[in-house]
Amino acid sequence: MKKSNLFQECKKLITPEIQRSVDISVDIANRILDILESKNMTQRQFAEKLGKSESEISGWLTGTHVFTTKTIAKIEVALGDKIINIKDDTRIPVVNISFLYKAPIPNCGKKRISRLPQDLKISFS
Amino acid sequence: MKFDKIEILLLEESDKVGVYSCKVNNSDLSEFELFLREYKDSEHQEAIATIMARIGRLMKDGCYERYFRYEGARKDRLFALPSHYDVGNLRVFCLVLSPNILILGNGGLKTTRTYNEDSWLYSCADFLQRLDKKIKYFEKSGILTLEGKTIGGKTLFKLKRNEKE
Repeated sequence: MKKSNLFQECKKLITPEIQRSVDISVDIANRILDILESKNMTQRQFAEKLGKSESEISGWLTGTHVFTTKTIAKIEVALGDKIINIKDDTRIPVVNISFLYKAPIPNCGKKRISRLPQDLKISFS
Repeated sequence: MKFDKIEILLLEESDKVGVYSCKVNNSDLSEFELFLREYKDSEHQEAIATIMARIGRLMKDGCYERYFRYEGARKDRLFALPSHYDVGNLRVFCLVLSPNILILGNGGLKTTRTYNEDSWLYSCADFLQRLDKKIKYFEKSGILTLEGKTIGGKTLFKLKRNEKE
């Protein structure tokens, strides 16, 4: 297949931010659709719950809408489910490790140490 | 009665989707490429990038109708692919022939309430609607096939011009 040069050239205009923005909007739309399906809720019922028109909801579900956090909150309440899950286990525990190496490293001199001796013992306290 | 010479050609493909456009009267560029050329170096560059990113996502997921804005009549397969609303109102018309086959056409800035009120956008949409009608006729006749992500058979043909334009 002979690829279109202009098509390829324009693909290069996509920045990581633009790609992420598109992906987030599409993912949100897909998530809403999944919840609607799992709850047997029609788009009309969803629109009524939110006090929106069906065409507005349909526009949201194309994955082109830029949702505000306020709208997301309203949708989550209407659906009774989360559409965005922010991990709360992202805090990685910090462990301070200190050790004292009491013996000289053999044959190292001023050379850079690429490998510690096999008999090196490290203790944690 | 006047006719345009049409050639349907593949622009890009993924595992799932074949993205096509068409050249009219031996033009150097396809209809979608003409759209890209018009806007890629303009103030709407971000919108073009967004549309390209959306096409990339469609190629990954499949061309499900929900990803498009329905623009045509009940009997056709005309849709529009809008950019994100925060980067302007640029839209490109397309035919979604199946979840695996997309034909991208031309488009432009939507400044009127409906595209029918804009002569350029109307001509872009009307062209694809006539093309869709022809493709359907060829499909029924068995001289053009849609198999998976591939358009096979007669991809070079004449299309009656809209004399009203």
